[in-house]
Amino acid sequence: MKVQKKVLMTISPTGEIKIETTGFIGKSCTEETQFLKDILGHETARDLKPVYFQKETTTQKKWLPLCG
Amino acid sequence: MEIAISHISKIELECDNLDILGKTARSFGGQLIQGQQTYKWYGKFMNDYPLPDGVKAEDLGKCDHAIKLPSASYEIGVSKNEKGKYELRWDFWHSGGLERVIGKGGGLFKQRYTDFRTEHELKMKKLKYKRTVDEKNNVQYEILM
Repeated sequence: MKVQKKVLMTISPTGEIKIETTGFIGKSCTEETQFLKDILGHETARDLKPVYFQKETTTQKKWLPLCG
Repeated sequence: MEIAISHISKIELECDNLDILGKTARSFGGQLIQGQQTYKWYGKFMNDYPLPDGVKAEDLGKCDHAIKLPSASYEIGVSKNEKGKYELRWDFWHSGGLERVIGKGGGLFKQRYTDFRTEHELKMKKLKYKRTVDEKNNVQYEILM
C-alpha cells in the first residue's frame, strides 16, 4: 500500500516554526519541503530520522508472456 | 500502521512578501508604511543588550519600511538584508508598548505572518491541507504532498 506523504508544520505563539515529514523515504523529504524554507527563512536545526537514510526502492513489474 | 518521521526542521523567520507583512500589520489593527526609513525606538543605544547579528549601533532606528501598531508608541522597522529578504527590528523596551501587542520576541507577530504566508503559498501551489489551532494556540498545518 502506498503511504500518503505528509508535511506537518507547527507555528507556535513564540514564532517558532517546526516542520516534520511523514511517509517519505530517503532524501526526498528535504527536497519536497524546501519551498517552505525558501519562503519562511533559514533552517536553524535539523533532526534526521533513520528512515531518511533508507534508499527509495522501486518495484519492477515483470510481465509474463501469455501467448506467442 | 506506524508511519516514520523522516526529518524535523526548525526555521528562523525571514519575510519575503511585503503584501503579507501588510496583511499581518492590519490584522493587529496597524499598518505597514512603505518607504518610511526610520522607526520609532528609544533613540539611544544603551549597550545593555547585545545587538542583533550584523546590526551596528548606528543602524538602529533605520529601515526600508516601518510598521505602526495601535497602542504602541514604538514602531517595527522592516529592513532588507543581503539575501533580498526582510528582517524585523524593534525596541522591546516596555515603555514603547510593542511587546504587549506582538508578544515576547515578537512571537505573535511572527506566528501570524508565518500563518498567512504559508496559507498563501499552499493555495498558490494548489496543495491540499488542513489548518487547525490547538489549545496552546499553536497553528498546525497538515499538508498532503
